[in-house]
Amino acid sequence: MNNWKVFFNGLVKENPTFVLLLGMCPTLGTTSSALNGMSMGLATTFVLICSNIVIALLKNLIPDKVRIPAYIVVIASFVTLLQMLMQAYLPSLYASLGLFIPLIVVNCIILGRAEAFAAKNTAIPSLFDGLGMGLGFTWALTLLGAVRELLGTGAVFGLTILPSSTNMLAFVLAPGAFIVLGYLIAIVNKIKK
Amino acid sequence: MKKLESSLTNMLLVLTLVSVVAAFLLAYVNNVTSSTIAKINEEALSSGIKSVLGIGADEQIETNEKPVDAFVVYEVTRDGNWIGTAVKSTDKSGFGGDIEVLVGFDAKGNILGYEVLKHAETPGLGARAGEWFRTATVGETKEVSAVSKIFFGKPDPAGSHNIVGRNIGNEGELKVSKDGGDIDAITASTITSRAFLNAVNNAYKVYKGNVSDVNSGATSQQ
Repeated sequence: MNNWKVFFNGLVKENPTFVLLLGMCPTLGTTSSALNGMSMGLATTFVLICSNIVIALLKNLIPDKVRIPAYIVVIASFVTLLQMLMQAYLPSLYASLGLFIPLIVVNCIILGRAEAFAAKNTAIPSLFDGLGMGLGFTWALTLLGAVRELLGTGAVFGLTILPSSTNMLAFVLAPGAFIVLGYLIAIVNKIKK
Repeated sequence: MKKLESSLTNMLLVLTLVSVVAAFLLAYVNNVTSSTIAKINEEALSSGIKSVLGIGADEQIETNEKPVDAFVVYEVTRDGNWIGTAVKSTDKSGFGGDIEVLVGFDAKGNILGYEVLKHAETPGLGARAGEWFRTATVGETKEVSAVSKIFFGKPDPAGSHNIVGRNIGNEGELKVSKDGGDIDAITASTITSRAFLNAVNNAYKVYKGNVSDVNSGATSQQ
């Protein structure tokens, strides 16, 4: 498999949100607005790329029986790193996402790709896999956030499009997340066929 | 290179090594970022204090910080003259956890302004507390069906929900209208509104120095 194929695999064909249905907790929790969804996606992409590369490089040094704790240490280190860097250099983003950043550690996309891809491939393809999966996650979360924000508050990325009389608060809350996700999965699967 | 065997020595060695490297890396980054993070938090607080006391962002002020139990009192002076007091107050009964509010008072105990410093309330509902309690905009009252309440939320109520300029000492504690007060709760967010007003009421008590009845068993440290 060449690298671009790996990249597009994560972006569309095996999109983590719409096809693999991995990482549903941050997907439903952070997408109350398009900006939050996108930031969460990009933060996850960063962690995914770093952990994929490191795990691909270390895979032969890590004995099979302790691979999961070793992977978790690597992933948790990158998440903590990201948290500190965001807090220092992107404080406003940290204020809105801070609660969800530590949860990236337990996002099953990251450990899932470490197990399914990085542990079996070399560093360069693993980088492309992380990039593809991460950006696939990002566009899915951004779309989900944009639809919920539009229906719930009449705005997309904070720009008001619909008058406030059409706002449906339910879409900003948890039930709306499930409804929108369900429809988006149906639409994406229809298009893919 | 062949994969390392899962022997006890190998496992111990590798896990220890991975953890030690991770620890050093994190310690290094923490070292680099901690001063920036501290500076940002300090700036956020000082701009919050200026905002709740209605002071321009460029003006030079001195702040005297004084912790009182779980609260922090900031006495603000300019050229040695006292110009206002800000109180940081936290209420634990918000819908999404703690709500941290900074409230500014003048000499008579009037509320000059407030700023929600930290919260985890629902976006679009409770999260509106940051704006809601300082806007005097009066909403319209109209009857809506139960279905449209679920999907569209209730329309904002007619009446006032502005707490800026209120004086808790003269007028009594601030309460939402559901609890017999005269402040309209945020539409569909009574729990957030109660927690917020509770934090403001407690801030006033701390400002007045009546700390003992704020929290059960809490006493003044002065």
